[in-house]
Parts: sequence; C-alpha cells; structure tokens
Amino acid sequence: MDLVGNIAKQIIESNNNCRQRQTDAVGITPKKMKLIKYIFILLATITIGCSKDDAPVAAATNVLEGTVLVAEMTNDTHKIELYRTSATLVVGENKIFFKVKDNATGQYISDATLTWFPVMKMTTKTHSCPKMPIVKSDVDDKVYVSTFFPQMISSETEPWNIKIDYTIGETSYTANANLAVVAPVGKTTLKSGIMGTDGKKYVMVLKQPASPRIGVNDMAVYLFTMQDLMNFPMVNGYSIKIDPRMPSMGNHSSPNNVNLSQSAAEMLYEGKLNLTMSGLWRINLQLLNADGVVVSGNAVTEEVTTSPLFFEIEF
Amino acid sequence: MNKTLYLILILLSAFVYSQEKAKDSLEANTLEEIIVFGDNTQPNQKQRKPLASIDEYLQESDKVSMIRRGSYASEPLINSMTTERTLITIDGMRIFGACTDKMDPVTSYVEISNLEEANISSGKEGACHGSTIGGGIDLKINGGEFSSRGVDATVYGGYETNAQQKVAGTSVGYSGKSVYANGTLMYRDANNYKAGGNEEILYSQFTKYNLSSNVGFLLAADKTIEGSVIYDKAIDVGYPALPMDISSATALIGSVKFTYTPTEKLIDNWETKVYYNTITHIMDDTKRAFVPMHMDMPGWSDTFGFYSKTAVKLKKHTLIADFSSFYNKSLAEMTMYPNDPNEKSMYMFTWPDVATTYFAAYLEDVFSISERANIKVNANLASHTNQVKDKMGLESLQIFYPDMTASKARFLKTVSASYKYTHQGLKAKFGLAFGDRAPSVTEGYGFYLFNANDKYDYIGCPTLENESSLEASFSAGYSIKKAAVSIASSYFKIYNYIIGIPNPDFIAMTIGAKGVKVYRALSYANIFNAAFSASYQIMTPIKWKGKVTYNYGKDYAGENLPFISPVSYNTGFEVQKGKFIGDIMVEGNATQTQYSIMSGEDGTDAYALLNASAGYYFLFGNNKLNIKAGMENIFDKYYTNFSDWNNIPKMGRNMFVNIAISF
Repeated sequence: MDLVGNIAKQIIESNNNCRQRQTDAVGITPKKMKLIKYIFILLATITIGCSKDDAPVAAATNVLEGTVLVAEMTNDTHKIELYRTSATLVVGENKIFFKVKDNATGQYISDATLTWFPVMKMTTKTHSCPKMPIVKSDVDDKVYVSTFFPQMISSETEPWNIKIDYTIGETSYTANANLAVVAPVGKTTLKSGIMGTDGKKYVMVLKQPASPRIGVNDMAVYLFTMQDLMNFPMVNGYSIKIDPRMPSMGNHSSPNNVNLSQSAAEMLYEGKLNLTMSGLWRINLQLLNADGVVVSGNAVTEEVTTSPLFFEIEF
Repeated sequence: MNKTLYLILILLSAFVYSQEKAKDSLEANTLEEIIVFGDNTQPNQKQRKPLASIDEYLQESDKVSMIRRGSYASEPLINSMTTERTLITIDGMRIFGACTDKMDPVTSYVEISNLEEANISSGKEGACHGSTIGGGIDLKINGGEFSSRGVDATVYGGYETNAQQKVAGTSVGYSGKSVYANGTLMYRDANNYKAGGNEEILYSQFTKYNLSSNVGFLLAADKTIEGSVIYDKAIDVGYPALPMDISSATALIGSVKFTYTPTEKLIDNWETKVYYNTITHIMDDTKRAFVPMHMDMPGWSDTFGFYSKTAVKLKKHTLIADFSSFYNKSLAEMTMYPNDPNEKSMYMFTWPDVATTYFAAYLEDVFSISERANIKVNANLASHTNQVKDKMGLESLQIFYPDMTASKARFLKTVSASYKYTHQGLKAKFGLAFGDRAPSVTEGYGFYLFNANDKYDYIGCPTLENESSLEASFSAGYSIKKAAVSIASSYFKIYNYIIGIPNPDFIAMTIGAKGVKVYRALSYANIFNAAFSASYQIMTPIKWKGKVTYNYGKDYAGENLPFISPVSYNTGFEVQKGKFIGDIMVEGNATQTQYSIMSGEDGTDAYALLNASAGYYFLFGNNKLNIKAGMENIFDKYYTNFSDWNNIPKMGRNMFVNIAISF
C-alpha cells in the first residue's frame, strides 16, 4: 500500500513540476498539460486505487470535488463513506454522496442498491425526517447520491443515526453510524412541526435563493407532510403564497413576487422572490391545500404585521 | 400689516431692478434676461445686496422663482417648471446635481464671485445648450480680459443679522496685453435663521467655501486660449424642509476654451470648449433630534463634454452652428442601519449608476428683414442615450420592469421661430416653438426616492415617452423719455407631461411614507404666464418701478399642477444721485388658490413685505470703497410662499451691510 501511495505521490508531484515548467515548454500548451494531468490521475485511481489513512478531500472523481468525508460506516464486509460539501450536517437540506468499499478487495462497488433510514433517537421516541431515495450518480457509477432533511439538532444523548440497508447481487447487508446534526450558520432554512388547520403536520425547506441578491430571485421550497414518525412524503398539488417584508423598514414589501407552485408532482415549489435591497427580509408564507384553502399562515396587513409561517433571509 | 400704509407706499414706491448690462433699464422686458452678478472682479454694486447669494439674484427675474428647502441651494423654477424641464448650464457646460432629493441644484455649486452674469432664456430660446421645454439659465463665468490694466484686487465682506451670516472674499486679477489671470476666494457662513416673530428655524445653518481661477493667453491677434477652474465646497448645510441635511457637497468644475475671431473671414467667431465636472454629495442625518432609522446617502455625478460653436455673418443673415456632446454618470446609494445592532445593514441603489450620452447639432439664423425687424429661426437635433451601468442597479429596477433593457436611446428635436420688431420706443416679439426633452435620471430610473413634500416614495419608469411641448410667446414694450411699460407672456402645451402617480399596489420603503408613486405621463398639461411691468422717472434722481405677474397651470383633467405661483407683485422707488443709491420697495403675493393637493400642496396666504437699502461709495485715488446697507422684511412678517417646500417659513426681519474695497 505504501509503495502504491508513493508512486501516486510521485505522479502528482511530477504533474506539479509540469505545471511550473509549462511556460518554458513551447510544444505543450496549458490545455494539453491539463488533459495529460487528468489522464494520469484517472489512471492512478483506476489501476492503483487511492486509499489514505487520513480523511482526504477526494481528488478521485469530479462528482466528489469539493466534498469532505463526514462519516464512515463499517461492517464485516464493507465500509460506506459519506461525503458532503461541508464537514458538518445541519438542520435543513443535506446532500450526501455515498461510496461503498469492499473491505477485502479495497474496490468501490458500483452495482449496489441502497436504502437509508435516518432517525433521531430521542429519549422519549425515535423519529425520522424527510428524505429522498438513494440513487446512483450519473457521472460516476461508484458514487451514490441522496438528500435528507433533519429537523432538529442532535446531542450526546439524542443523536441522529443513519442506517443503510444495501444489496449487492443476491446478498443483503446493513451498516449504520451516529452523526451529529448542528444548527446552520445564518438563518434556518427548515420549518417543521407546521400544524395545519386540516390536522396534518408539514415540513418546509427553503432551497432557493441560496445566494440571495438584489433583484428578481428564483425561490424554491420543498414541502413534506408527516404521515407518521417514520414517513415524511412530499406533498403535491398545494400552493404557497409569499409576501416578503422588511420588519426594520416599516414592513416594506417588494412588488411583483410570484407565488410558489409545482410544475409537476414530486417537484419543488417554485416562484419568484423580489428583493429591493440587501438586509433582513422575512418571507411571510401562507400554505394552501389542493382545494385552495389556507391550512397554515395568514396574510400580512396594516394590523397583522407577520404570518406565523415564514422564512428569514439576511444578506 | 397696515393695509392703508401699504397702499400709500405702493403709490409712492420704487425699486431697483438691475436687469440689463450696465445700461439704465428703461427698456422693455424681452424673452431673454440678463442678471448681472459683477464685472471683472467685483460683485454688482447696483444690486440692492451685492453679496447676496445666487438664489437671491436670480429671483429678480420674472420668469424665475426659487423652490426653497433650506436657506441655501434653492431649486430654480423657470416658467413654473422644475429642473427636469429646464436647463441650468455654467458657461455652456452641462452639469448635473448628485442628490436624489434635489438638495444640490447646479446653482449651489458656484458663487457670485465666479460669475459675471446669468443669461435667462425662456422656453426653447434656451435650446442652444441642450434640449429644454421651460427655458434655461446659463451662468457665465467671470473670465478676464486682455488689456493693460495690470493688477487689480477687491476685498469684500458682509454681515446679515438674521442668521448671523458672514460673507468674506477676495478677488485678485492681472490683466495684460497677451495674458490675464485671476483668482477668487469666497467664504460664507450662517447659523439658523429666524422667521417672523423670532421663530428659529432649526437645521438651517450652512458653511461654504469657493475658490476659482481663470487664465487666458492671447496666442495671436485672433486666437485665444482660456482655462477656468472652480472648486466649491459646502459643509454642514441644513435643510429644514427635509428629513436630512448634508455633511458635504463638493464640486470641481474645469474647462479649456479656444476662441478664433478672424476679422476678414466669413466666420465671425469660432469657440470650442472641452470641460469636465465632478460632484460629490453626502447626506447626513446625524444632527437631527429624532430619526426613525439612521442612513448614509451619498451621491456622485460626473460630466465630461465639449462644444464647438461658430457664428457666421452672411449678408443679412447671422448664422450660428453649434455641435455639442456630453457624457454623464449619476450614481446614488443608500445604506440603512437597523436599530438592532446584530442585524445586517441594508443597502440599495437609489440612482442605479445611469450613464447619459448626448450629441446635439444646433443651427440658428437671425435674418435681418430691415433695420427694424428680424426673424430668428433655430433648430436643435439631439440623440440622448441612457444606460444603466450597474448590474445590481438594473436588477433592482427589473423587479418593476422585468423586460427592461439596460440601454434606451432617444431622439430629441426642437424647432423655434420668432419675429422681433424695434422702432423708436417700441419693441415687440412674437415666437412659436416646438420641442422635446428626455426624462431625467430620477424620472426614468429613480428607485424609492422619498419626496418630503407629498410624503411618497417615487419609482422611475425607464420607458417613459419624451415630453414635448408647443410654445407660443409674446412680449411688447414701449418706452419714451421718462416712462416705460412692457408685457411679456408665454403659453406652453406640454404633451406626455411626466408626474408621479400613486400606485396602491406598491408598499413604500421610507418609514412613515404614505405610499409609492410611479412616474407616468399625463396626456397633456397647460402652463401660462404673463408679466406686466412699468417704470417712470419722476424726477432726475427718483424712479418708480412696478411689476405684476400671473401664472396658470392645469393638467388635461383640470387638476392644478404643482408650483404655480399666485399673483405676485413688486413696486418701489429708486434714488440715484452722485455717489448715493437707495431704494424702498414693497413685494408680495396674493393668496394661493391654484395648488395641487396630489403633490402635497395646501395653498399659502397672501403677504406683503417692505424692504429698503442705501449705498454710498468713496474714492481714494484709484481705489474705491463701496458700502451698502439695508433692511429686508422691515415689519418682520412671518410668511411662506408657494415654492417653500413643506411650507417652511421665510426669513423675518434681516439687516445687512456689504462692503467692497477695490484696488
């Protein structure tokens, strides 16, 4: 393994030298250099396999570029690696990349089928959260992708646990690990425990605008319902009215916002959010069911200056 | 106060009215007026108050009224029209204020020490410097002359009691056969002023410094090159009519002019000028007792331009051709600090970095029909393009106008013709004109600009049509040995009249505002004004003068337009004997009945004021000491007039003394 590591190191170092020398070399253009470098790296990964002891930034494939290893689950046969663009899991949307490694061969498995069960083991009960099914990445068949939306922060005594059941061929396996979920930096993007007037409980997650700017912003929201403690399916056919306000500016609002609606089932609710200036905005919401009846939130008026259902954006 | 007293005074009164260059003004009013600020290096001693501000000088004109937001930097109205419809230039140079709230009209960036005279033209007569509807004021810089006068200097100082205003300045000039150079320095400082009854108007103080210099070289007998620079800085200026003041307003105005005046050729005169001016305007709300939210509002306006103008005399024709161009960038922004210190500050563009590119060709012909009559025809064709330079600024406006593009090009035209007849004591002039103007940066691209008069936030509209107007004007005057009478009148029919219209769907941004108005165009509006003046030389030293003006303005639906003056009058006596000059005058307005509720006006009461002044000069060899003293609003009347923004009252009794020593 060390020999392999050294060879890999040497190739990478020689690539760096190439880059330094590229201004001197006449025949080799920068573009060609880049291509050569990628071929080397690809060869290195495929034939030698890179497994290093410390948790590296996975330079192996493009899909995982910019991600860090956030957890590992080991059982007798495999090690499942979980990657995310940031080192911590937060309340809200978390996109996770999975890789399944065979402990014996050291190879990554490309034909597994995975299902996962993120749960929070609270003292009084155990509950899950909204999640997507795990699918294979279209870019790299050794990487699997999914998203889950934990609603609460974990603690020492009440951790989140992700269990993954997977099959390779005819055989089934399972693995799990505890993970920490922390509060996000900035305003929260997840609203859970929304009690609808129809008796249903809803969960909303703000996906866009991720980088708000002055002007017309695309707004996108996930809408789930809590069927029971373990199941949080997506809700279809509803609509979400938005009324963005600036509480510090006498509840100033912007004009021409477009309420959120789905273009098709199992999709995000999308619309347009207009922000006239930077600062703190409260996006007041009203949730309407498929019949157009308001099940949560209220309109903003002179007297009623906020809706209990809102997201805040500060930029 | 005492009506009978006023009546008696009106019958016996006269006033000084320096309207024409040095000549005794027994001539009738015409559509072009000249207000003299001074000559060479010293302020105009014929003026009642030689060291008055530019605003006070300009108010002498029939056509000009001043919108006051404070004791300084008033916005000129020409023919009842605001600066969007008029053209204020400095020596032919285009220049634009940097404040979204109009706290800095162009007249606030110069001083009387920089200027020789103001040429006020009414209506399309002002079109040689740009596209205008209402008229223009061209402030001519006090340059210099080539002579063998050598060095001369003036030192002046003045004091006014009401706001304890101090004025001090000096001008030094050298005049030689082939070179001249001069420099001026002026300082003004005032505390809060008091309205009638000793009511102190808070936040009305100001301090201002101004430096200027002109240099000229005679390259050949018929070629000169001249350079001019003005640096003007006002600090700590208060605006009692507005919720904010300014911490500083700075302007740097520079130009180089090349003149060719051949004697034998067809060309009578060819003048080319290149210029640049930059203005920085910083608003400040830290001095106010209560502010709902602290905010920083700076603005910048930079203009680069040139013109090349030539005059040709051909038989009975005097032709002028002028090609001009300018490029201006206007940017203003706002940063608001919320009361919760943990919350992020809020930022927005109020003028989204708009660039204006303008090219114009102007042609004029004065055709002499006979000794007595001439016809003047002029035409101006211009291309005017606006471009929103900042992406964030463009995206803010796209919230309102999703299909808006960054650029909009406009084509502007003006055509006018006038007939003038002079014979012995009779002078008459009749004119017709048609022209358009482009919307201003605020009207096209303003973003939530608060108007303190009507308490609305204004949003611009980039796709507004050009405003165009049809204009008819008439003036006539008759003068004989001792008496003169004149009448001057103009009528404007303005199509696509741009004004803010409330939109109930939008919610205001400014805390405490009533709502949002968006600039829209009304199908048309009518404006009419007429002025009648007379003068009579009672005996050699005493002259009586009187004037009455009437203004009318209504839109297509019969609603009153804003800023229409009620009937105004002034009358008085002027005495001039030897070294002594004095005057006593009554000025007043009738009750305002034409006012626009939609624009936040509520009508003003009638008032009359009494003013008096006296002046004397002493000669010491080649040196002259000039003293002028007087009292304004002698009865300390508390009053406000139609153009006082937010009804702030005008000054109560004020005593002044101005001294000028010239060497």
